[in-house]
Amino acid sequence: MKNFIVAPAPHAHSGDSVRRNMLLVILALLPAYVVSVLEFGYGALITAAISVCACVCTEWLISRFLLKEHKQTIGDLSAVLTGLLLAFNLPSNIDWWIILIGAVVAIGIGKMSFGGLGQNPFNPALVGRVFLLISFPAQMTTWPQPAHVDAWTGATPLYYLKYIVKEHANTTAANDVAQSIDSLPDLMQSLLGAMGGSLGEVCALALIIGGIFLICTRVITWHIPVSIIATVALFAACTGWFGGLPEGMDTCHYVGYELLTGGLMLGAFFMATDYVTSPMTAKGKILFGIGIGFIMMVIRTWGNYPEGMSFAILIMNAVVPLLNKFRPTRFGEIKK
Amino acid sequence: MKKLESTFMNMVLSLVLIASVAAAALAAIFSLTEENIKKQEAEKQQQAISYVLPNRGEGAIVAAPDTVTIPDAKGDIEVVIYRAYSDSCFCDSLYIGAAVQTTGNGFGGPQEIMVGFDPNGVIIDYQVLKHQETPGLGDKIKDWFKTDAGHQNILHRQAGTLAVSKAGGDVDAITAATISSKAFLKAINVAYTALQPKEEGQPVKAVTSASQIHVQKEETEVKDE
Amino acid sequence: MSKGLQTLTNGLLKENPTFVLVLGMCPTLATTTSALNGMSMGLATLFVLVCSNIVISLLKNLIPDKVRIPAFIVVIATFVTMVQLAMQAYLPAIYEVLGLFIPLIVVNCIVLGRAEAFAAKNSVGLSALDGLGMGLGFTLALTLLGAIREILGAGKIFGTQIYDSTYTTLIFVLAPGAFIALAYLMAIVNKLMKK
Repeated sequence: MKNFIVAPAPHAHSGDSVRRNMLLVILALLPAYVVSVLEFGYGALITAAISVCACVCTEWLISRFLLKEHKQTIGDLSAVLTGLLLAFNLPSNIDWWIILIGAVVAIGIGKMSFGGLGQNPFNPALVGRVFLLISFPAQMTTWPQPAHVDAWTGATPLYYLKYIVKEHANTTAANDVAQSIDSLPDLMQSLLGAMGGSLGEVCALALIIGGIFLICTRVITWHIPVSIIATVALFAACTGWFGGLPEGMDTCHYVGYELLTGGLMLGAFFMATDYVTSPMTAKGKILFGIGIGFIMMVIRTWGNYPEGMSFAILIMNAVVPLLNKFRPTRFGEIKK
Repeated sequence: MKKLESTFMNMVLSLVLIASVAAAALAAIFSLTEENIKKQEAEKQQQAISYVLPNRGEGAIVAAPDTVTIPDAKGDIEVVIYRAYSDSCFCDSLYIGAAVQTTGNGFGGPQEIMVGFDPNGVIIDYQVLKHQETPGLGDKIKDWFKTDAGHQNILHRQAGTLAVSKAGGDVDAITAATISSKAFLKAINVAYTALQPKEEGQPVKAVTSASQIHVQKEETEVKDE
Repeated sequence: MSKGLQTLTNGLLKENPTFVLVLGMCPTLATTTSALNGMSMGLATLFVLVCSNIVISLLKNLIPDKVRIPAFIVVIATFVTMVQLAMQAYLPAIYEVLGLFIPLIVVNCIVLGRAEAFAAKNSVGLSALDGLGMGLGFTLALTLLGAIREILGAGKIFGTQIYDSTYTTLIFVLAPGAFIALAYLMAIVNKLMKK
C-alpha cells in the first residue's frame, strides 16, 4: 500500500505530452518530405539530415555547457522538429555550412536565448530561415529545379505572380507579362509539386494531407490554418475583382496560384500553429491567422520579396501576447 | 561664487550670454573651415570628372556644365553634362568626350553616378558618387560593372540600350541585387540619352577648365604660407 | 587622487555607457558597421563629452536651475557643430560615412546625461576626467561592436580582409545584426563583470 500518493487534483493524465505532439507533427510532415526527396534526390536527404543533427547538437551543447541543466530536453523531439522545419525552408542544394549557421541561429538565438522550449516568443525555425535569407540572399533564393520538369528554369512561380500583378496595367511590358503567365506551371502541377522551391514548398497536396491529419488527431485546431487560407484567398480574389490582373489571367487561377505556391501551406499548417508562439484562445487564433494572411499578401503584392510567409508569421508572433488578452472570462468572474 | 537664483532676469541673461558665446565660437570655426570644405567638395567633383574622361582627364579642358532634364515616369531626372575638349576653343572637332553626372532610382535610394563617354557614346569609365544600397549586395555597383567576369563589364561598350539579362538584355545583374543593377544601368542609359545632341553646337555659357582650377589651388596654398 | 582615478575608470567598466547604462543606442547601432566607423563615432563623442563636461562644470553656477537643460543643449550643440565642421574640412572620408550621425551626438543621451548627473555637481577637473572615462568607455564599446560586425559581416577587421567574403554573414552589417550582436555582447560583458 506504500505506492499510493496523496496529491491534489488533477488525478487523471490524458496521455498527452510534448513528445507525443512533436512526434505527430513530424509524422504529418513525412508525406511532403517524401515528395521532396523524390523531386530533389539526395540533396533533400542531406539537407534535412544536417539541419536536424545540427539543431539537436546545438540544443544539447547549450543546455549542457551554457545553462548547465541536469535534465536534458532533447528527448521531447522539439529540436528535431525545428531542424526538420528549417530544412523544409531551405533549397536542397544549399551549402552545408549555411545549414549549420541556420541551425545554430534557430536554436541558439531563436530558442535557448529566451530560456528554451516554451519561452521563445518567435518560431525558432523561422528565426533561422529569416536570418539566412537576409545573410545569404543569393544562396537562399537559388532553387534547383525538380528533376523531371525540364521546361522550368529560373525563379519560383511567386516571382512571376508578383511581376504580373505589379505590371498588369503597364502596356509597354505587356509582352513580358504574357511571357510570365506562360512561365507559370499549371495549377495541377503546383498542387502535386512539380515546381522549384524550398524543400517543403514543392507539394501543396502532401502538406494539406499532413495538416488535416494534425487537425484530426487534435494536435492543432482548425482556426489558424483556415483563417490564414481564407484571408489569402479573399485578398487575392479582391485583387482580381478590382482589376488588378492583366488579360490572360483570371481571378480563379490567380487565387489558386497564391494558395498553392510558396510557403503558404507549410506556414499555415506547421509554422503558425506552433504552440509556444501562437495565441491560446480561438478568437485570438483567428485574428492571428487573419493578420498573417494579410501581411503575407501585402508583402507578396507590394514588398520587395516575392514571398512573405516567414516575415508575416514572425511579425504576428510578436503580437501574440496582445492577442492572448482575448481570453474567456474566468470561472466565476462577472463581466462589467 | 553662489549659484544664480532662477529669477526671470537671471535666466534671460545667462541664456543670452551662453547663446551668443556659442554663436561667436561657431562663426569663428565656420570661417576657418569654410574654405577647406569648399575646396574638398570641388576637388572631389573635379576628381570624379577627370577619372571618367579619356586618359583619366589628362589634357582635357572641361566646359561649363550643361544641365539636361530627362522626363521619366517616376519624376524627371536631372543630368549634368561636363563636355571635355582637347583645347580651350571648345570647338566640336576637338571634342574628346564627356563626363555625365546621372541619378538612378536604386533599391535604397538615389544612386549618383559619374559616367564618362567618348564622342561615339562608348563608356570609358564610371564612378559611383553617392548611394544608399545594401552593403554587401547593392553596393557592389561600385565595381561590379567594371569587373571582367561573365557578361557584367560595361566599360568599352556602347551605351543606350544596356539592360540586365532578366529584362532581356545581355548584362549580368549583381546576384540578389537586381533592382540596384537595373537602376544603375538605367541611369547610364539616361546619361547617354542626355548626351545626344538636340541642337548642334550648343553655346558654351561660361568657361572653367581643369587647368584653371589647378592653378587656383596652387595660389591658395601660397597664400596660406 | 584616487577619486580622480575612480571617476576615470568608472565610465570604462562599472558604468560603461553602452553595456551598463544603455545610453546613446542610436549611434551605437547605426554607426558600427565597421570597427573604424565605430571608433570614429566614439572619438567624436569623446571630444564632445570632455569639452561639454568642462564647460558645463565651469558654468554651473552661472546657469539658473530652471533653464539648465536648454543651456546644456546649446553648449553641447556648439561642440557637435564644431566637430562636424572640422571633420568635413579635414577628414572628408570619415565625414562621408558618419556625416548623418554627427549631428545626432547632440541628442545622444550620454552627453546630456553626464552633464546633468556629473558635470553640474562636480569640479572642473573631475568633470573632465568623467567625460574622458565615459567617452573612452563609449569608444571601446563601439569599436568592439564594430569589429565584431565587421568580422562576421564583411570578413574584415579595420578594413583588412581576413577571410573569404563568400563566407560572410551579411545580416551583421545590416540593422538586425546590430541588435543581435549588441544583445550578446551586453550579455557577455555583464556576465564577465559579475564575477
